[in-house]
Parts: sequence; structure tokens; C-alpha cells
Amino acid sequence: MTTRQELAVDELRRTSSPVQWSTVLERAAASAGPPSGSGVKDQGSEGGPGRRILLAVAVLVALVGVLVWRGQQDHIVQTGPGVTVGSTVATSSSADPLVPAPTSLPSATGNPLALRSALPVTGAAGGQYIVWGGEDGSSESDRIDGFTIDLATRTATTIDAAPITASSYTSGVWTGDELVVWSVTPDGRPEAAAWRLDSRAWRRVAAPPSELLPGPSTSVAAGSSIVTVTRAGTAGAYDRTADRWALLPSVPATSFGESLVWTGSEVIYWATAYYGGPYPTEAGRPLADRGWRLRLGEREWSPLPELPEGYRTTIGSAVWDGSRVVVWGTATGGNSVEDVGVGASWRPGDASWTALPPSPQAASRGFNGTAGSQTVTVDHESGVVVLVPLDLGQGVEGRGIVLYDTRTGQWRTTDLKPIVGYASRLDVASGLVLVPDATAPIVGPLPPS
Amino acid sequence: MSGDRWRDTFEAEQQRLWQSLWAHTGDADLASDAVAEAFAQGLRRGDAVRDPAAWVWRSAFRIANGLLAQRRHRRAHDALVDARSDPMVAASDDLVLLLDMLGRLSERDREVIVLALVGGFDAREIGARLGIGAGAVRVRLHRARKRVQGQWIDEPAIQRDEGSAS
Repeated sequence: MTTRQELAVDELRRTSSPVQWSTVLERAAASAGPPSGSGVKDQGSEGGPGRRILLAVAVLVALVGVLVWRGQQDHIVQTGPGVTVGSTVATSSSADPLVPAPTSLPSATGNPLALRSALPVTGAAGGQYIVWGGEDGSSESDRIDGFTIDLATRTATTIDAAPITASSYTSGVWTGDELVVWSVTPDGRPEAAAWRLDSRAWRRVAAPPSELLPGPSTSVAAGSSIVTVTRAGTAGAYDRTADRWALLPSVPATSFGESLVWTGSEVIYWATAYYGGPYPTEAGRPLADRGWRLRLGEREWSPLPELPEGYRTTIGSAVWDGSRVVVWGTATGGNSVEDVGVGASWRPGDASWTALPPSPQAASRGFNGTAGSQTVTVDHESGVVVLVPLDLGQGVEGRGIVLYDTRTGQWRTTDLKPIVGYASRLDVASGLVLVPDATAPIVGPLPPS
Repeated sequence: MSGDRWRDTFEAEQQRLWQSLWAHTGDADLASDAVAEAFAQGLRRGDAVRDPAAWVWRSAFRIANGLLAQRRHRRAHDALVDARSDPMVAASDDLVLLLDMLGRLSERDREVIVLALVGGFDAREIGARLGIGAGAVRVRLHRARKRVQGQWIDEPAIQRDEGSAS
């Protein structure tokens, strides 16, 4: 006899999955890790107790590695050039012959100075490059410590672990003078802390409301506030002066790899191709990216104009150059084999976007890393937008960072090759292109215009 | 090369994986998201993953659980209410009831039930996909069955699984 349960299961098995391989490719190329926030790591194919034993052995090896590393660090402090004291170690730059070649710092599991992937919090101030959080591949949790790089002396100094629980759901932002970070305990209790560059000390601050946790989120410093948007579309603001959180109107569309920028008076939310089935598409790819704006205190997000025909992006990123929003991504209508980078700029108040001139890059395979908030940044001193090239994963050897000068409308190519991990960051400070890797943070100097 | 391997795995696994995740989460959109994300993450790892099929199942369930946790401020299975209005999914009353019943189980118990009922896997196969031992799978199946005893879910498929999984 066929039971109701069997009928239901049969019905379920007859329902077709709406997921397309092209969606997977888009997702793989998108920057922000998602559900990377859900802590998924490659754990090989082994399951069961054997894997746990291996894990225990790996932890032991890691502990021994840390002890050995500490010993090496002491040695470097005594003998290496360009080295200061305490928990500071030498760094290197392939573009600067005065700086020593990569030191003997190990790339061992758990090295707090290793490349930070999965969207670490980064920023710069006072000649320091600040890096906190992200993943280093040693744990399912995000790291809750970090490091600073003195860009004059090329030395790295560790940032102590934040007084919050390590989890897969840490978030944070660099405000210009302090890091504000938050996480959630295993029992669902939010925690937050702030670290100041001048004192290099952590303090507890008000925890965000549970609606903003857990899960990946994107945040931006907005004056004396911080605005954050979760993958579920919930938005909130933290008033640093009042040490108080408040929910904001939810964003109109959820996204993956979204960007937030602060214009000085408004927050711009840039949603990459909408996710969640049934995947509205355009020319066979996810719907073109769209943006919304919100002035803090307003009750709803207002839509930005549509990107111009021919310049609509998928998995695009938005940055603020000081006077306009610049969006760059791969053109809609591509096929993930031959992608073309396109973009447009928009000044608040304009009725439409202005298309960027064609990029000097030829069409190429954008898969495995191209557009995304970690691959686009701005040098606020020069107004130059810095882009990681297309085809990052497939042929980065032959392609350098690309520059777009918003003031002249000119493109330039460079020989600078970024070292980029999964959903890592690219930053510019003190005229240097930077990546969040303490052992080799400086990609090179930003070429003058 | 690596991409071909993942593409093959996608073709072979994604249908059943999506169905299982839909049953597990009660949310077709979330299931789609988890499937796409798991394969995307696998693709990025390339050849470092030895067994893409096992890896992607385990990862997709973990991603789905993370997304469910993210939405915990509303009932995880609220989406059931939307299931019948979803243009993609016109679920029958029986299917909605099944999803609702599954939604009352703990995440861990629901995983094994779904993999047995929808995925059609035995205990050893379930263990490989969830990263736990076959013994633990059988314990969870037993516990889950006790919890739904006397309710709408009946047992035949699970009983068969337990019998074949030793």
C-alpha cells in the first residue's frame, strides 16, 4: 500500500531543482563568501571517527607549530633587518628591494600573520594598515585577532584576540580610528567589542540585536555610525557615540557579494544579482545588479537609477571615490567563458549613470574571482579606482592590476600582481597597493598618474 | 580539469541534493541557495577535494543549517506557508505536511531522516555525507523515529534503511 508519506516523498523527488550550473559559476566568481560565513571548509572526503582522530592530530601539530613559530619569531626579532620588538616581525614587499625578502615566518596552520581570506576587516590610518578577522584556513571559525603593518618601517604587529567568541559569524568594520567587531556565542548571544589604534586595547561595547546575527553581513562606517546589512536583508546601525544599536529598514533585495558605501550623507547598498530561486535571469544570467540609497533616519530605501543598457553588471562591486559611486563587474549576457568587464559611475542626484569607457582588458574567463568588493578599491588621494583583473584564477600571471582614474576617465594597466586568497581584500594606503597578508602585504606602489 | 569533475558531480548529485535540502529546510529558495553555494565553494577548492560528492553534500547541509540559523528570528519553516504560492513549487497537502513534520525535528535528526527518506541513502552512505559514523546515523534515526512516533510520518523507508545499513 502506498502511504501518504510515500506519496509526498515521491512528489518531492519528482520536483526539479531550479539550480543551474551557470548559477554555480556565477557564485564561484562572486567575491563575498556566504555561507562561507556558515563555516564550510574543505574537509576532504573522510567522515566519522577517523576524521576526528586526524583532526586531533592536526591540532597537536598546529600547537607544536605555534611553539616553533614563536621561537622563530624571537630569532627574527634579534637578527632580522627592519625588525622592531615585542610581537612585531619583519614584512616584505616584492616591489621594494630595500625590504628583506620574505622571512622565515612559517605558513603553518594557525599563523596569525598568514593571508586572511573570507573578507577580513581592513583599513588604514596613521601610516598603519589594519587587518582583523577573516579566515586563515586553520579553523572553521573566523579569526578574532589581527595585525597592523607600519607602512614606513614595513613591520607587522599583532592585534590581540578580541574579547568576543570566535565563530563563523564574525563581522566588523574599520571606522578610521577603531575597529568595531561583533560575533555570536554558540547559544546565540551577540557580543561586540572595539579596538582603538592609539591604545591598541579592546573594550566591550553594546552588542547588536539578534536580528543582525548570525550570518554574513556587509558593513560600512557612516560618520559616527556603522551601518550593516545581513545576507537576509536585515539592516542595522550602531551609534558609536551613544554605544547603541538600532534596526534600519530592511533592504529591498537580498544579495550575495553585496557592497555598502557611505557618501558622507547616505548609505548606498549595491545588491549583486539577486539570489534565491527561481533566479530571475537576463540573457541566461542572474538579473543585473541594482542599488538603493538610504539617508539615516529615513523609513525606506530609495532605488538608484538602472545601469545603462550595455553596461549592466553581474556580481558587480560598488565603491565611493569621494564624489561618485563607481560600479564595476562583468557584463550581463556573457557566458562565464568570455567575460567582459564593464562599469558606470553615478553622482548622487544624477538621473542616470555615466558609462565607463571600455576597459583595456580583453574579454577573458572571469571565473574564479573577478568582480566583488574585495577586488575593487579606491585610492582616495588620487581618486583612482583599483581593480583586480579578470581571469584572476586562470591566468593572473599575465595580468596586472587595472586602474581607472575617475577624474580623467582614463584607464591604465600595471604590472602589479595581487596575491589574493578566497574573498580576500585589496586596499590602497600611503600610495601602496596592499593585501591582508602580514608576510607580504605590499603588492607595490600605486603608479602615479 | 577540476571544473569538469565538479560539473560531473553537479549533474549527478544536485537534483537529489536540492530535494533533500528542500525537505530539510522546508524552503525551496534556501535549498537552491545552499546547493549553489556548496558547489561554488567546492569549485573554488578544485582538486583539493578528494570526493566531491561527499564533500558537497556535507557542505550544502552545513550551509543550509547556517542559513536557517541566520533566519532564526522567524520560524525556520515559515517558508512552508509560502511553499504552495511559490511559482516554482506547487506542493500538495501531503508534501506540506511532510515538510512540516520534518521541521519539528532537531536539525541533526532531520538531516538523517531526510537523507534516508529523500536521498535514499543507507546509514553508511549517510554517515559519509554528514561526516559521522554509521553507528551515529542509526542512533539518530532511532531517536528521530521515536520522536515522530504516532504522528504523521510513518516508518517504512526508514525501517528499510536501518535494515540494510549494517
